[in-house]
Amino acid sequence: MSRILGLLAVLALALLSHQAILDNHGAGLGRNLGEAGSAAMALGFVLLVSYLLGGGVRRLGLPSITGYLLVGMTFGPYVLGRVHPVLAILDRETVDTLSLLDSVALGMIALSAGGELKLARVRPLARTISYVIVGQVLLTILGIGALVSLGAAWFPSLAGLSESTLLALAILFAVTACANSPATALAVIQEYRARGPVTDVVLAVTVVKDVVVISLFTLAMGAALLLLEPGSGFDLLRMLLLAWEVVGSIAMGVVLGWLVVQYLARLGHEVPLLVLATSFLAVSALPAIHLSGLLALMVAGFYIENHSPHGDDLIRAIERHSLPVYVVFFTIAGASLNMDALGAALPLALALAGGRIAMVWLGTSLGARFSGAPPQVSRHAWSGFVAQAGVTLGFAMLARQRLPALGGEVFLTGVLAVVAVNQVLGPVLFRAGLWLAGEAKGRK
Amino acid sequence: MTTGTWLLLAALAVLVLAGAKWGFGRQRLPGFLRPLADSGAGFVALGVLAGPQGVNLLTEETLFKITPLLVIAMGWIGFLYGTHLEWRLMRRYPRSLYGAGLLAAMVCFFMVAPVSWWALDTFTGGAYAGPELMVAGIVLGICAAGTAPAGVFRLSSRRFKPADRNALQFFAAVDDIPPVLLLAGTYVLLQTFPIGTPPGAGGQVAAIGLAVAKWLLYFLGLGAGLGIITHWLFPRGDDIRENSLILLGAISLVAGSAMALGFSPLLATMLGGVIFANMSPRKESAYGLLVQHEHNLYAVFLLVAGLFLSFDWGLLLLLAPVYLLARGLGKLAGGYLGWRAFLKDSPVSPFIGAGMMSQGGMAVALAVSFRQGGFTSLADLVTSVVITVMFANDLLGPPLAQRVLGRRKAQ
Repeated sequence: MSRILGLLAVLALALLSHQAILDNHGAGLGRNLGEAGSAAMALGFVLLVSYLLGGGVRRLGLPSITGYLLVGMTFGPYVLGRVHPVLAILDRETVDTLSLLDSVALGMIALSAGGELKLARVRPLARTISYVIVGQVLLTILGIGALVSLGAAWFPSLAGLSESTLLALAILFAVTACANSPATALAVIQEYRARGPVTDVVLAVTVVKDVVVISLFTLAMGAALLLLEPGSGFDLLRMLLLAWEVVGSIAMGVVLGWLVVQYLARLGHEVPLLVLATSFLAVSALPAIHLSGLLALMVAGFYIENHSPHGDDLIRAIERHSLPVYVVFFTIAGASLNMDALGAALPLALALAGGRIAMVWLGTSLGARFSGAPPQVSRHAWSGFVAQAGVTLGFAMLARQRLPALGGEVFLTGVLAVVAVNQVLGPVLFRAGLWLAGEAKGRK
Repeated sequence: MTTGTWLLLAALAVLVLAGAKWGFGRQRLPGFLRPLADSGAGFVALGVLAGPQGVNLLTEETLFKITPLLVIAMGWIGFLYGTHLEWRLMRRYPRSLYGAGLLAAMVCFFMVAPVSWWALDTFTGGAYAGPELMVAGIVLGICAAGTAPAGVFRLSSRRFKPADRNALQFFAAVDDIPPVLLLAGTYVLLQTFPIGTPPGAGGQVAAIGLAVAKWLLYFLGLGAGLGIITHWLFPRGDDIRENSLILLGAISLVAGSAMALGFSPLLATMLGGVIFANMSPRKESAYGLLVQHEHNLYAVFLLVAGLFLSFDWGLLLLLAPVYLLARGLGKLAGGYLGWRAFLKDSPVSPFIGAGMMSQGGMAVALAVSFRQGGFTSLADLVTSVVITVMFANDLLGPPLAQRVLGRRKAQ
């Protein structure tokens, strides 16, 4: 009862404050201070309301992160925001202000995801992991590429595009469809304390595939550029930048990991601060030198876990603080899901999401079967690869920025819509997959 | 970022790595520098180095996006302080101790504020309007009045008389109440009559009363809201993750609302802490968590506060010694007058003020809270003076206390 009263009090206080903020326009403060206050208020609202309603969703047998996503969608700009501005606690400006904290949260999740990969557990599965990656990537690229290029006539949003634009779109949609969300996989695994071959394969594949997908996307951007601007020729600099992004991020991850290991061995104080500082530095500074902060953090987590006796301490420290991190990250992800885009590109989104799930299922099942993996891997591991989030959206923004000739907003809208579908379905399917595989033990 | 910035960043990284052993392994520091490490001064210094006064590492956009962290940290500090003020425990102490502690704080405020106002007026050479200088002086006085409990706790290992040690610990716990109330009053007045309002623009008494009532309503509403929400939501179980989330969420909600409405996050959450401590049976558990995360939160707060500082080094170097001296004299005089008025017949030393020099995170939080109000462009200078003098007090305070109060023990 006190929880319901508390939830109602939070809603009342947040809405009253939001109304007063809208009336006062920050009470004559500088715009920035008013916005920073609104963002902190929204963060508190997210933590309390998402967590409390997430608990309600859990009672329905769904993962908590589905509840967090739903709260984000509901109080974001596209659902209640349409009813009345005061109800949009997570409006666009607030989501933008919180984006740095959101990135740091994702960085901590990436560090934790890398740290979950224990070499001793993953090594026996190396063959399965590589076969599954090859199977998924090949079939997804072929399937989604064919769907876009051959089925364009069925989708109004693709009508009227030239053949070369359509081909460029097909390549980019196909490669983007290969990306996964390690954050979602890790959140569900931690919530259900899952352990077993399906868990190990899903985690390892999502982490390793990030490297493959980043490389493929840069190649796909090069190919799309050639198709859209035929005179542009082969761009050596772009290829070198790709190599730098992948190899440099891995190297930087090793350096970061080594530094953290030294710190843990010699000092070992203030571990939560260390995690926060490492994540902040990686996600805010590394992109300035064309490196992927997330990839570097995943590698750092992997290095720390496998090269330090204190690796478990670090991962446990992150897990101890993981609840607010997940709540913030997934609620903001929910608020960022573009419902307008989903509405505008619904037929294309449903077709792409359906086609992608089919290809992921087929690629995973075939890869696992050919590699001689345990039967539960070939039957249920596919469910862990449905969710998509940050990396995929990053690709879409990059393509819009660097390829203005790419059929207006078709690619961005399409990707946003597919991510919306996959992010809602992904956690639910993965939770079901883990239960069917017998690896979920219950909520932590 | 430019090449120069990258080189500075690399140099900073080398410094941080080289200094890590010292910065975190406090036992290796020379004795007189240990209080600096304990007080988290290194975090402020790191923030100042990375901020606009140093290598200017972060863009304006990044700095802006860090601001919510500062708001939340201030809220945490305020709530934690508020939870100390539990009536059931407070009423056990004799009134004479309250009288002495509160009088000492007020005397210090009334000595430091005019001196700071005068110093600001003299050193800025007429660059600022009179009311701005007066407000800045008052805020410097407010920040001077309190004593850092952590600093006093560190002193307690020294050989003081038990009566002095207990009095110091008690004073440090309560002497932030007057400055907090003074800051609340300043906030309400400045929100009602911003600096530069022409005299008489406020109009009639009714209009003034209405404006004050509005800000009091915000203060009471937000504070009571936080106390009640935390009381209702704070879980009965001992899941640290869940408990931390509820505390963090409730504090962020109210601190952010206060900031967005132009009120101090520190004050609103402090009232929330008082209400929670006095109504919830689970306050012990919440208090344990607040203290457990206190160090990390203070570190983030001090680092971010350092990042935001932007000031004139010349003015700082002129003002800081005056402020240090005024505060030192204010503390000695306040301690003496408090003793003379309330503790004359007790074994407490008349020079108890010598043990009250430490000026920790609360003083910085009060200064930052004022800065975040955006009332005057002198706020950065005020904050940097407070931080600089906090360092100086951390270094000078313990030997002074040892010399004045420890000597009595030897006698």
